[in-house]
Amino acid sequence: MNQKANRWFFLWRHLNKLRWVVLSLVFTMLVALPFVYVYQTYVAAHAYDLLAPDEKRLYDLVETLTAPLTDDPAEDLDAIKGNTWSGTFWGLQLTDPLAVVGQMAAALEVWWPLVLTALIPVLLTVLFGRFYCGWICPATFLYELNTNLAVWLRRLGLRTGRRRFDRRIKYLVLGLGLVLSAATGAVLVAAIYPPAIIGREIFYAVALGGFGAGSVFFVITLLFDLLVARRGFCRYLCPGGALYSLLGRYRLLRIQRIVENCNDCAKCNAVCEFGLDPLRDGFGQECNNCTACMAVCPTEAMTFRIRFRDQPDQGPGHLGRLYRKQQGGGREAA
Amino acid sequence: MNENVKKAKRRTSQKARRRFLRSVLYGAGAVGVALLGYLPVAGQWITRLRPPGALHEEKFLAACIKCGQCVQVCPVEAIRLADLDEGFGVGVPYIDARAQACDFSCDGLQCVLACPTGALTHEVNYPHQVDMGVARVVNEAQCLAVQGKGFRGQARGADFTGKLRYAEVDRWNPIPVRDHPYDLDLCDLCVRQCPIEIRIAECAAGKPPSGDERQCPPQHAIKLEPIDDTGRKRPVILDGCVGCGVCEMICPVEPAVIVMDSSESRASSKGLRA
Repeated sequence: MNQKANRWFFLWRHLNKLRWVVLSLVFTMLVALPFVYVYQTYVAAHAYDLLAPDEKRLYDLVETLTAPLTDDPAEDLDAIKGNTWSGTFWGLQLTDPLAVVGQMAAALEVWWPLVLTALIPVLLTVLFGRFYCGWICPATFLYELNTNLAVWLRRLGLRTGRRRFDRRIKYLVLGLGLVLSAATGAVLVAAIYPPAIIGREIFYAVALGGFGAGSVFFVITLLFDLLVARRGFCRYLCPGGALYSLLGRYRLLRIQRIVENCNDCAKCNAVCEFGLDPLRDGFGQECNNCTACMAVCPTEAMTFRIRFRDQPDQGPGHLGRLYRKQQGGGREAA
Repeated sequence: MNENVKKAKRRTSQKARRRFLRSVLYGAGAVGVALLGYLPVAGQWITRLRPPGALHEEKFLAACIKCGQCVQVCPVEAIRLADLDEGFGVGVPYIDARAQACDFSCDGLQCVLACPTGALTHEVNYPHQVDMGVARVVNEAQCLAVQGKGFRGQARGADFTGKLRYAEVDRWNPIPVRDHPYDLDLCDLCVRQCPIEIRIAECAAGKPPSGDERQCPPQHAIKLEPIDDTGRKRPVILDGCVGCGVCEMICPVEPAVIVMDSSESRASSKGLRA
């Protein structure tokens, strides 16, 4: 066997777990923030002496838990504000590039302070591609759970959506969204962009009571994914995904296939949430480096490469039957 | 043979084209349906009180990215986010003054500081520079002061959850209005609780908020004007009014004698880049 060494694969194959940890953390943050807010305003509005006994107990509990970290939890918890759409983290303001582009389109003006807050995300996207979609996006957390649900439903013998559409639709959605934003003078993309909706809706539901239209929209996208097309919204419709894909087209860090190690098992294609074709080196600009294909690869045939373009199709994997047949056929002809 | 290959090729390209067209159709359909939901309200904006520092409505809607950070920093939970009933304005912040007005208890205009987009313009530094709207006296006949009546008890009843900051109770933290009952010979709640008037009084006493002279409002916002010599008075809105809505919130009469009018609000607000 002329298998190629893949030195760090033992690390790469666990990145998918790390990704889930990150996704869970981001989502937990979005859920925790409104509770923190409620706690802060409640403590602020009620003198300690006037609290009911059980309220005092809760207050004391939080105080004890946070004592090693901070003197005044109500104040220091302010370190994180906002959501993944736009937020402040220890004084550093970060904004989703789509928010900036959307605002530029709606106002037909450039507001530099906001543009600057998107600088870090844009830089990271240029380097790492559409990583936001796989590693950060709070909607991804729910969408991937939704995919798992679909798998369970199929095991029960139910039929879930397996349609495929053209992946270029989302660029149309992005373009159309921006044109309509400019025409109507409101940042429309924010109304159809799940991560923006989720942050807003969770906060609203917890802190102020009640869900809005955004939740309805999000549930519809979940049903679309479940009943029509697997991960359909992200694959075919998400304007943010489109923008990130374009930004990450010439990303530096890429997952690539080592053809010598590949046995054509196609698990990578089956697991790819974005419907890409790792088996035939079809990563393209829409790969979000989520590393799911690395996690399932049984022959250590996936690795990270630093290069601006994907490898062209390398043909069937050298451990696979097809390659051997080709080779055998070649020998016969010779 | 060659013909067959050509035909097959044509067939596959035709198939691909059909699939593409179908996809486009679905996509356009989805977007269209989504837009349809917005259309009924597209034309008629609901004029609502926007948070302090908000740009002129058109600019404001264009600048706001609906991130909700202003909501997260408001200590009295005055700022809410609009839902689909505002059409394209879905997700933009507003203030329902009757339920919870902005009483500037954060002092530093936290929502303005939190706004990443300048939709709440950073030009505004002090409460008296805010220009959210103007208070209007709408049903003067109902006003307790006009009738010469006093007021005793909780301003908005026991179930009202709104908060105000009473400097004499707690300089830093707002408390529920129902925890602070009043006993007045002549109802002057709108003047008494006006954040601008409170600041003017503090400055006159030589104790400006945070010890900062610049916090002192230059103009009065509201006063009670004697109607006749029977001691009856009527509320009059003055030039210093910033439209914060506290008078509307605190008014014990149902419906409120004073309401906020934001249609002329932010007339003096500058553009996005100003």
